[in-house]
Amino acid sequence: MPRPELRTVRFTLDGREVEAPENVMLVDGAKYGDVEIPVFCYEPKLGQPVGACRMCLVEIEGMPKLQTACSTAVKDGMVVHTQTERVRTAQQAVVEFLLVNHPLDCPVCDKGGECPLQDISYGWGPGTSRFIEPKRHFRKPLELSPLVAIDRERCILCYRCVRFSQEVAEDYQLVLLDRGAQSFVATFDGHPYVAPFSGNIVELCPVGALTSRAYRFRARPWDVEDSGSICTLCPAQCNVSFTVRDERLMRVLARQNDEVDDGWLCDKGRFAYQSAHADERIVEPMVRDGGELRAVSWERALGAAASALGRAQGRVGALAGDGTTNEEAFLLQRLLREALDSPHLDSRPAGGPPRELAAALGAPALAATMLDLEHAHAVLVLDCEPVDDMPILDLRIRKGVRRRGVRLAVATSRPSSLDENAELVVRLPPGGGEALLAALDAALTSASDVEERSAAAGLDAPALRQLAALLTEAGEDVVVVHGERLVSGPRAAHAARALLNVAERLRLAEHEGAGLLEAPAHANGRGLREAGVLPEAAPGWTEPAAAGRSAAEIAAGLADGDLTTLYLLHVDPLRTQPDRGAWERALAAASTVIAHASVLTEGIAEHADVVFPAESYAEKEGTVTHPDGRLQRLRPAIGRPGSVRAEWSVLAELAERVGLPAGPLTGPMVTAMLAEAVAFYAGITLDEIGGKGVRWPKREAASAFPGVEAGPFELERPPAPPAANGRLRLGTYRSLWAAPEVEASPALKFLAVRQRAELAPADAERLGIADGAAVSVARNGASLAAQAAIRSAIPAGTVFLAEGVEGAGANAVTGGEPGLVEVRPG
Amino acid sequence: MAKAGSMLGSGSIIVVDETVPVMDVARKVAKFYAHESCGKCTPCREGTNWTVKMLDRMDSGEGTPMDLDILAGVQEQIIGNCLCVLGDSMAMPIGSMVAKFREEFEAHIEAARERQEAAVLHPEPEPAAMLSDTTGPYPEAA
Repeated sequence: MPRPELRTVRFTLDGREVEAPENVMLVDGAKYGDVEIPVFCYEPKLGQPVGACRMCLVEIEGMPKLQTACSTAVKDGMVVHTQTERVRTAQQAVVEFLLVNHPLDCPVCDKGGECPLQDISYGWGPGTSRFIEPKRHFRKPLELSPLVAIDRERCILCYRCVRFSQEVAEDYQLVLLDRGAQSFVATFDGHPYVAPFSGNIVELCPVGALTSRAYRFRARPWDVEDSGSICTLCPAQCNVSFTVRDERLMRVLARQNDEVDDGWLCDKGRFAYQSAHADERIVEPMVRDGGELRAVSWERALGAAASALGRAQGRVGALAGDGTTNEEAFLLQRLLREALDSPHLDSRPAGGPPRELAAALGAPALAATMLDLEHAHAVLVLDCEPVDDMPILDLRIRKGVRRRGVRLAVATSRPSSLDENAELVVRLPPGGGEALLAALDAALTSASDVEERSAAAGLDAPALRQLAALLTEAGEDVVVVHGERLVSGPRAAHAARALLNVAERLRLAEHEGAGLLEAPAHANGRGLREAGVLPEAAPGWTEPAAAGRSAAEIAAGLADGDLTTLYLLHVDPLRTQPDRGAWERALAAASTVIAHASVLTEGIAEHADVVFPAESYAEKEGTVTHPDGRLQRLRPAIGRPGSVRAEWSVLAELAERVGLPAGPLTGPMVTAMLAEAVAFYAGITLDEIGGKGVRWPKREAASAFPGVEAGPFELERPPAPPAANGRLRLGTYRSLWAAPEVEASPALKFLAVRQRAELAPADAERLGIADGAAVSVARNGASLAAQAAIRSAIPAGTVFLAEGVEGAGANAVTGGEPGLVEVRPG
Repeated sequence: MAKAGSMLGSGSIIVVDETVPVMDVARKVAKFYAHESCGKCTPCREGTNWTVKMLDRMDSGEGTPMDLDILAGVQEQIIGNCLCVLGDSMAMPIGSMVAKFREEFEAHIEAARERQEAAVLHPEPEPAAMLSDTTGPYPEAA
């Protein structure tokens, strides 16, 4: 969709000529003339202004009454007065009215010192109040949710939190109950406000009515420091600002970057900072000694790791995952490829397509940006659940649909939270992404075998034609959002070709506002691939001297004894990798397992021989790459606890100990090495990345991206799914809350996920399973205990399990690809 | 009519003869609008609520003639500053009542004060405790 053109208008503000962009509201337009108009309810992020608080009244010549500057757009030739007696009287009146029912308990209020109500009362209020009647009273503070406390006496009824819930997060939980002076904010049903984005209301609240229960009474604004960085708990990589007091993280606030997060955070990003100070965090290097992990000196741990790596020359495998920076990834592949002659490393849990195809999917021309999502003609959400895989994406898609009329199509196997916003919903069988793409390709080229292909994929041919029609008719700017799982597994190459074909048919590479956006499995998935943590691609998607083994092949190699040593950079394979059984065998067979970890998850606790303490994301320095190609910079906000060391330096020192020449001495030196090794990052510096990041596909160096295989490809017919014979097709999903950081954060513990088997009512009835009953899900001899959850939206014949659940992940019954499972009561 | 400080916006005329105290009329009008106020915009929500509380206080004998100035000031602060005209609909009649019947208000306040003083000197048995209608609801936590 064409972006609105920026035209400027001239208007008179307090007797001076001011130039401002057309159609901005007067509140914003006045800023171009260095005039601040006070506001409470106005917040452009929330959509249309409501004009409720009346704080922004100004005088406009030609209009008899005072007007709200938040809901009046600037027009050419407008004459506006903000400093007249009439305006001043009205502003003072509004402040006096707002304070009528406000308890004025600033000395004990968390907001004190950073409170818009304080600031505006001071700047625009009358200074005194004539109100001597009793104020309204509420019981307080109450738990609006386990994360947010509500003090209804402080509330000035600005509607921000309600608008957020109704119009941004669209969870429709918060409402204003009662009316007039008795109005109060509550959930419509009286239940706690638990939602993936609920914490944002704390930041939106212009008074101390909504406060974070994790932050309440922990610090005051004048004894904290703010430190800008990036949240690397998921691929969304939201820009955050850490509030730090005495070397401890106190809270996380959004650091608005419209091109990344639009100023919102999910609750994991907002509250999981507590994991950095969790008691269970590993803060000393550890070595297994007499069967138990014991804290040891760095010298001993590095020595043990280096000698094990040295012995295993050529037979080392490595996995990198969540929280790994580009620099660490680069040094890891340098350690394995150059020092150990062992190119077996992977960052994709379920493997991926070969180098040329993977690089083609990551080509700069195909990269869609977060802003493209909002301005696209159509968005297709394909085989992923944004709210779980990359939460902030969910809000951006909702915004596009709600405010800009983006046409949304959802094609997923598990019912999506975006279904209700979508114009078209296509349900595909779990693992049917490739077949869907092949059928869609046929529909887009008006091939004759659409029916046949759809039927083979278990899809409805008319729905597919509708999908193809929607994508072609909506306009040229189409963004396809997909999960890493779409192009992974044994048929990744075929899926990648099908996806490239669809991209070709929709001309995604040719249009500026069109493209692909992938939600990778790991927070820095794109960065890890570009830095060369792939079995068959060196940094910058170049061809390595020798191809290595993929994650699944590393597991097999360890089990067979072809590999002896495993290096885990922020990965617990028992938790994140599919096919838990294979990894259990691999870890048991490995002679040495070296891990960087911040908590002892089961695989690390049982199998690691050397454990290096991992830095938390608030302690790291380095860069990460957003799924849209934006390099962003992590800056340390707090010091490292215990004897934690910078992880890049651990990797660099290990490389030195096993024979490489002296490596980098500082973090920025590693960034420089990375920029040199990755051709399309060439010349990038930390200064250039700055606070807002820089998208490499937009830089000149992007032309150095290696040539890639061009489509369209002849597609092989996807194999027909095996007959069910009474078994259910297993689909897996990742839950936002199934993460070690969530389990280690006291505030979020109530959200930690228990394994649920989501079943269709028909299947549950056939199998004699009641909602909430204990079930076992079995496949190939392995089984998993779960609680049955009967959801009417689940397609019959399928069952869904969550990945990454501590001790009960779906990977116990996945064999690398979706398959059939038996579900039994008990 | 507007020039006279009156308002016929709602299309109805309320006829009140001289036997009805203007305080009762004012309280009736103010309570009606405070009850009808949706609560969205500040001047109407807080202004109607404040006006009712003030009138009730005057009627109960706790007021002084100075409160009438505040009452009139609050009405002026409401007029023209609201999102809709509901707040204005209360502020205009109340404002003009204070302007036109100030003496009657003052007499009413004085009479109420005397009544209250007499009640303090010769107390009657108190009625059972009631939740004040000026306090807000107490929603229970879920």
